[in-house]
Amino acid sequence: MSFLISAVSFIVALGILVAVHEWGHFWVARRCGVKVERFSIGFGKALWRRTDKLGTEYVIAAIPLGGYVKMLDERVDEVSEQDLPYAFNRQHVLKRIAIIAAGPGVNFLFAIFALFVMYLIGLQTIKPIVGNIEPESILSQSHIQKNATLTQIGERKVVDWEDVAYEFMSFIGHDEMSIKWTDDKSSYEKSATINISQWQFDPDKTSVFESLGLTPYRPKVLTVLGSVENDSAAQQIGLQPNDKIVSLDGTSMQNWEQIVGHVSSRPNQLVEVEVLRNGQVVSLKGTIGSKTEAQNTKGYMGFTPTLEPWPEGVVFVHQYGLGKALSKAMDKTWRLMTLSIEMLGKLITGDVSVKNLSGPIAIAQGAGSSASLGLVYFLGFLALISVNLGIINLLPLPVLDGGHLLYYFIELLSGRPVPESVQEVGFKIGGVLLLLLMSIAIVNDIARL
Amino acid sequence: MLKQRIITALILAPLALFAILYLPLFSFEIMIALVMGLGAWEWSSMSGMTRTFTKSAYAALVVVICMILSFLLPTDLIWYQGQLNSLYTYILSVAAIWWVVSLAMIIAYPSYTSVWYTSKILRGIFGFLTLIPTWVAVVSLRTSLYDVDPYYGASLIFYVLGIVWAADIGAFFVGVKFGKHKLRPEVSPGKTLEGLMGGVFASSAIIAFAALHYQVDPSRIWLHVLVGALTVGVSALGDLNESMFKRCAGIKDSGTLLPGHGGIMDRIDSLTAAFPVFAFCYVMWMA
Repeated sequence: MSFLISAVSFIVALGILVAVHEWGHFWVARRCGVKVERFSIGFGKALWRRTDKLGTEYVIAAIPLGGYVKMLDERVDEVSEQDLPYAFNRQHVLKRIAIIAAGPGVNFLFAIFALFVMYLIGLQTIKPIVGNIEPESILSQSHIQKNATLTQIGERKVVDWEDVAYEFMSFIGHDEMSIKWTDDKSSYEKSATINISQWQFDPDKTSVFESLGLTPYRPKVLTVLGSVENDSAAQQIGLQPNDKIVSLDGTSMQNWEQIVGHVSSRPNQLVEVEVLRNGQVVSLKGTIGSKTEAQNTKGYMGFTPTLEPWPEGVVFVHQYGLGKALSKAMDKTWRLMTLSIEMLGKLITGDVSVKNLSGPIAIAQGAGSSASLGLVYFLGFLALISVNLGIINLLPLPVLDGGHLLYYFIELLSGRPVPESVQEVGFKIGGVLLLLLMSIAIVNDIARL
Repeated sequence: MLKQRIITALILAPLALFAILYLPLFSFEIMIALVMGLGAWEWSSMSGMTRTFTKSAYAALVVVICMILSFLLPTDLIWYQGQLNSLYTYILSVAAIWWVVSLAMIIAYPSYTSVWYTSKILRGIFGFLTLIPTWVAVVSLRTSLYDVDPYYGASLIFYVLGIVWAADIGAFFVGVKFGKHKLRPEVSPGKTLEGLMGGVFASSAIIAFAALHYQVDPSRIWLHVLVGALTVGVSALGDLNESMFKRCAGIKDSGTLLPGHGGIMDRIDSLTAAFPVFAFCYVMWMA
């Protein structure tokens, strides 16, 4: 089922982003007087087609991994004498630059739009309150205490954990990082600059917070049952939601970790459970179930705990009026753009390993998990991928839009088109780079599965 | 023609293989210098030199310069404490700049040709810039980590040869088998889009294989890939560079030394760009 959600969300996400990107090329090409022969979403066999008055054929094709706009062009096919003024290659170089740049440009505009809608609808987030700082960790240099609220990292304000994660990551490869926070003791903002030259961060193993020694605040886990699975050991024993577990086999249970420890070390064994139900102690007896993971058999009950309610104001909703939502969306898009470029730079300098490259499978999983959280999260995800698509397409690699732009800028300087033989050299470099980077990304994806 | 071509290749390939793997370093230096000398002989015609005496002198000069370098710097001092000798590093840097200039010349061609076309001396100097750094590059790669593993340097040379030849071979076979969309029918009818992609694919395979073979650290894979891609591109540039000079001189094949293949330069044109640029990147970032 989750595979299906991933696959469908991926196709929807990719379809939207490709359509948006290609529509950018299409719209500007039309404005510049270029004849567009076909506007296709997807490659391969056409599933649906329609032709408009200007002779443009709109196609939805079978392979959903991209799309294209086919413009009239002498380099590709024969163009009749009277159609020459409408051919792409006959346009002034500035017009060609506009047509090519429009694709990535519209990706950025779309990100603003998606985030704008997201802020209008409202998005639930969590205030960055510190749960714990590991002793001897990188953040322990800072004297940040439990329950402190992080307010600023580097030069940027942070209001939720997502901001914090982004800003921490922007410091990868730096030697120092400054942090500001407030705590309950005084209303003054405190600050510290910490040395992060020893920071090791491998996203495959830990989260960015863990790698710095930070645990976000979470409400306490209670020993009261939240849910009991059907046909589970817990149900057979007779446990019910809202039962508070008092003792197991006569040992009194103070917290949830103790319960998990007791159960998992006793697969398929008899157990005596004492619970508090409606103010009365009830004794139950039964057998603990089992579950085998990675050849380890562990005891398993099939119940989940309840959480203490979140304190007032910790969970809040980002929701704004029209004007504020727009300016927030623009800020956020700009930050996503600069972060993407910073990360690409770090990839080249080696501060970020190519192991962190994600390919289509990771994007599909991201699409699926954000979609299952709800529309607002999916919008945020679309904005992120749209910005990435725009930035990657602007890389000066032949094959990509940025490569064409590079050729046109050289043409602008030299006064004539870059010779096709030289363009071929560029295509070889770009082709090899893209092919290998895509392979690395896909290998990474598979390794992570 | 094709048969002759294959026979020549079958004779030359084992010779080259043997020389790269087993020739003592000094003999290897002499042999590469001689190959550069043959290349120089052909380059002299491309530079517009016609008298046999001038041509021989030009070819001899290239060999002599290589040998002077060789005598100045014994093979065990080419790399000292993991650093390439600074004179050699300097020569490779000059070569890297030369290939950027060459790219600019090719993009501008035929504009600005008047600046260099009329001067045989300048065209002769371009030959030096093409051939001597190739010798330096091949020798530097061959002697890299020689005291640790005498075959390590040879493997680097095979890597560069592999990248360059895979591009040609991949393009040829994929082009013949699947070629449909012609790139530029009027200029080079044999080239197809499918062939281009085949070449890209084959070179990528070699680069990926090398990454596994050399166990490149994940933090440096990006660099490995970038340098590999650059080598693929620059080898095509070597080809274009030679074509430009041939076109200026109005000749088709650089010579007739290799039956079925044309001249030496026609065989090594890609390598004269690929070796110096790869060696430059290797010395700067990878060694």
